Amino acid sequence: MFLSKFQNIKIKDFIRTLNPLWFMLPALFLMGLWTYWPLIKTVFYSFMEWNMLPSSTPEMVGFENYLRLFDHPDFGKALVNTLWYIIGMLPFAVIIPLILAIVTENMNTKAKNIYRTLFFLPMIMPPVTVAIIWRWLFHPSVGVINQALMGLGLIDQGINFLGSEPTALFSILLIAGWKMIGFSTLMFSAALTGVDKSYYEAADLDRTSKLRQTLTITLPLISPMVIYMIMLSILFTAQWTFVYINVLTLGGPASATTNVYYLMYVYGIKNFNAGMGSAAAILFFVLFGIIAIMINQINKRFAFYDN
Amino acid sequence: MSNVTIQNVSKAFKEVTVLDTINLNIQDSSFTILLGPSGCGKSTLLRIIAGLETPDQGKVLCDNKDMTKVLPGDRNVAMVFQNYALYPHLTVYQNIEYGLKARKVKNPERTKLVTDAINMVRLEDQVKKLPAQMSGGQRQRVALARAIVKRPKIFLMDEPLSNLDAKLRNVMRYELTDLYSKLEATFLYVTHDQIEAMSMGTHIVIMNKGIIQQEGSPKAIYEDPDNLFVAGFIGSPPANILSFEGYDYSFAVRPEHMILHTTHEEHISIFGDIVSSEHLGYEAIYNIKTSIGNISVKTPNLWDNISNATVEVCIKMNKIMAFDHSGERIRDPQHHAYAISVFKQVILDRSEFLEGVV
Repeated sequence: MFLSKFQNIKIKDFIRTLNPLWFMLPALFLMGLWTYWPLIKTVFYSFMEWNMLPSSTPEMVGFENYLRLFDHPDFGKALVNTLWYIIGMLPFAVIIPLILAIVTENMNTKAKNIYRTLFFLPMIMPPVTVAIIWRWLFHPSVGVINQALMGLGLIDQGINFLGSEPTALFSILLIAGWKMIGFSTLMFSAALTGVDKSYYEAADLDRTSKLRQTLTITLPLISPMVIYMIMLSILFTAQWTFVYINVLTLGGPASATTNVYYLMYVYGIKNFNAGMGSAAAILFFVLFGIIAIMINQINKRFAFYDN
Repeated sequence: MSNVTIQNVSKAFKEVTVLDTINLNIQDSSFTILLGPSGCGKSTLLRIIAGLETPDQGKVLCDNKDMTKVLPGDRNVAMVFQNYALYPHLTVYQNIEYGLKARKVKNPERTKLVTDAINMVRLEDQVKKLPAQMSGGQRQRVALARAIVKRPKIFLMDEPLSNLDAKLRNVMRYELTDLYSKLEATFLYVTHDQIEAMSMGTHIVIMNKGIIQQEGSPKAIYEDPDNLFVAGFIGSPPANILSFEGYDYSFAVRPEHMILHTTHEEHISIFGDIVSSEHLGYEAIYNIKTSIGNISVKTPNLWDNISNATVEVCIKMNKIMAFDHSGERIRDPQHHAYAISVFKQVILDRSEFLEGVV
């Protein structure tokens, strides 16, 4: 009798520890359905060969997909390009917005709002529309940019910005970056608003120059946001550039503008190769996961949180 | 060591006048207190002297030199902020050192200045801490050290003790007075707390609605107010303000200048009922309902259970202060005597229990 009572208590306790789970159940269910289940399926398909047709069945091929991926000529190119995109995106996502946010912070409210609205406008435009507008601007013969350059006498004939080797990648970067500036500026402005103004008054009384105040007070105090934006930029550049690659260059010329994200799309959606697409997805998931963890560690060490 | 002169300074924020033609001379090496209720413009005046705000008109002179357009960093003033404004990402040592580094003070000298300042506020064992790891009192000391290290001629303090608890405030009052005597600089201190003003200040400037109401020594401010505002602001509780409909005069009597008697003596006296009592130890404050209104009386504690009892309030005749209809103190002896006779008449008219003056 004693034993059964004891067990009863144990079971009751156990059920009680499960209580919080009931409240989380709706969220857990949705996350499981839309995030974890697809993730597991992707891992599964990365070891299969399957053309995504309902009539065919997936076939186990082991690490075949991964090996083929490493041998594929576009894969190395996509990795290198992704690296260039990441490096090239940092000025647009971090450096320029940081300067814009700091410069506009001390303006009067009206001027500040006008400037920040202007910076933010590209962000709310649909990416495909933006891509098409820029295609006009970049047009080799009638595009405004070429017209302007020729008008100034800098070039004799139009440059095929999106069709030649180094300029295509830079053009994609410029468009994606131009669109990101507003968002980052907004984020940095929000962080700056949180910095107590009396720090600057104290520094003014200490005869500190504005530049020195920016470097020794502003930057350390908004460092969490800076590191966060760096992380966002590194992890999502491949996604942010995807639309423009897809609309403007299709990865070309000669894979000059392809990146890992676009490659995944080509394998999985265009070529109906579920195995290759999944294998690429898993590889990049692991790769970006490692980068995210590393940046988190850096964040813990270097970012300062003011409470 | 420096005196500051404010000449015709006015300041408005979006049509709200915060300072209205202020003229003030802050004496060299004085501990001057700007005292007033919140919104009276005292902090704005301090910030104008610091250079953090520009006056709409008027001048700020420092040792007879016009400082109105001089940058805050070039005014040789140090400021202690209400929220301390310590750089949260820098240690105590780095916070104190920050200003010297910006001024490019070289190292053996810099270390000595910082160490001296730290010793002065007794924070030797805290130098490596971040502000967030310290108590309010310690942060206050860091803020003081950061001001001291600059060796300024003028210390500006904007309600520096208002974020501390009552006990710590008492301690810091002593320490500030101590620092003042050691540093031989001019202190200009903004507060709404009259205990701070009375206990530390050598000179008190009382402000209300952007205007200086009265300035003088703590004694003068307390014993000899210029107008009804000062009489009704200073003191805890402040002087009783008595004004009567249909008469041009107002009167003020400090709670401690009234005595409760069960028998009458040489005072003007009035009967009333005790509404509430507040025992402070040796003294007690009684709130008494009389025919001329509710008045508070501070007197040696009677301790007896006399709540709701009818008592006789005796007002010392020579302590009654009279003010004219614009709220200004009546200084003319004849006018004063007349006003007092009005006061007596009112009480006679109102009180059926009046025992009269002997």
